[in-house]
Amino acid sequence: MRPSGGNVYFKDLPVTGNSVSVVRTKVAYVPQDVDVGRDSVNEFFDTIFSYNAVGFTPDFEKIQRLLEWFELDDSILKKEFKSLSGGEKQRIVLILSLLLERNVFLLDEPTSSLDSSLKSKVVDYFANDPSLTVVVISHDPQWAREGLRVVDIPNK
Amino acid sequence: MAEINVIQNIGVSGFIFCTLLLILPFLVSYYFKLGIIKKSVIIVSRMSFQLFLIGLLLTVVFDINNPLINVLWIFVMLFFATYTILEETDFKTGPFLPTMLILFSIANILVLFYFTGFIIKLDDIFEARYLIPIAGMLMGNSLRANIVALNDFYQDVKNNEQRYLYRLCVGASRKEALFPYMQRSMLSSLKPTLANMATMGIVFLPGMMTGQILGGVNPILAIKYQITIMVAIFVTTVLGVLVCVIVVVEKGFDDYDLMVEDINKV
Repeated sequence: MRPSGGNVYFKDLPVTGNSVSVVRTKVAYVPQDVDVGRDSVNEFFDTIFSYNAVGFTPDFEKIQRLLEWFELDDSILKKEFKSLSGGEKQRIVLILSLLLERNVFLLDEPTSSLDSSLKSKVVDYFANDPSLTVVVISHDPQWAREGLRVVDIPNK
Repeated sequence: MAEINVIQNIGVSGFIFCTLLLILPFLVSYYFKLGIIKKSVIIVSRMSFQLFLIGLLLTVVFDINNPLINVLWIFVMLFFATYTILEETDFKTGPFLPTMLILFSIANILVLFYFTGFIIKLDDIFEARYLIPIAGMLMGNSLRANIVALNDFYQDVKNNEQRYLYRLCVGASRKEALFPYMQRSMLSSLKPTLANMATMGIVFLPGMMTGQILGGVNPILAIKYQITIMVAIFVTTVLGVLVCVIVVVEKGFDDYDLMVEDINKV
């Protein structure tokens, strides 16, 4: 998005029309809703990893490991993304963001549709890896834990 | 040149009878309160006036048959075709017109002279009697597809903007992220042209063929023209649709790869 005012910097690099495409390849963004049309989960992954700037294909083992961690079955890969439940979608998009092997994450309500034990699991995953920079927008108290900085955004 | 003069003239009484025929749609409009009587009178008059004027002009242009004037005429046609396409779409006309005109001209002229030069092998590839009607057929028949391509693309990106933005954010280039939209708009715009070719001859006799047959040409020669012109129309349509998609992708998005605000007609 274009900022409505001021400047945005990414590691001292001002984000402008020239640099925005580079910055996009450094950040893993997880939006609230993802719409991938009629693609299956597999096709969705394949599309993303077909992009030039992404530049690699994740190995299957890693996908399986992440699926297992987030308590999803392998068979989900063949299902149509649209047919998944809100929580399943959310976890698939999180898994994709992790497969991208980036260390800056922008997560927009990434745990809103998950039950509380899964919420904690997601927070664990991101909070326990010190190499990751994670910016989260959330209403879930699970994110308010030691070592994470909480910024309250008051309602207007 | 041997004038083929078997075609029956349409006289004044013919036109009176033709006008009388309009009473039928007027009755339908009156009964169903369609409110199109006044509108159709205006449109039919306008059409007649335009065609009458073109008939006069073409008589002169065919008579002079100067390559320069013929090519100039083609460019005027190209301008109006491009303008009409953009006017009919959801996009504003101004920002796309110059680029679109240039690319659209290249595509059309390429096919046009390929057709007159290599396919019908005219001695004079600029000959007005061939060049102008063929150019008209190529442009006229690809018009609809171009409008559909532009509108579908716009609607598709608007309706599924989030999907596009997500792909961008993950790292897709503008072209990569827009690729599915390009595919879809091209497919949907080419479908009618393909369907048209598939039913050709069975469902309807195309206008050019009918015209040639009425003009006294034997049906075999008429179908030879019809086949080649249909292929040329198909090629022009594909190229035209390609031009539309390229122009939107290049000119319709800003340096952040977001669709330019206010690019649509209000």
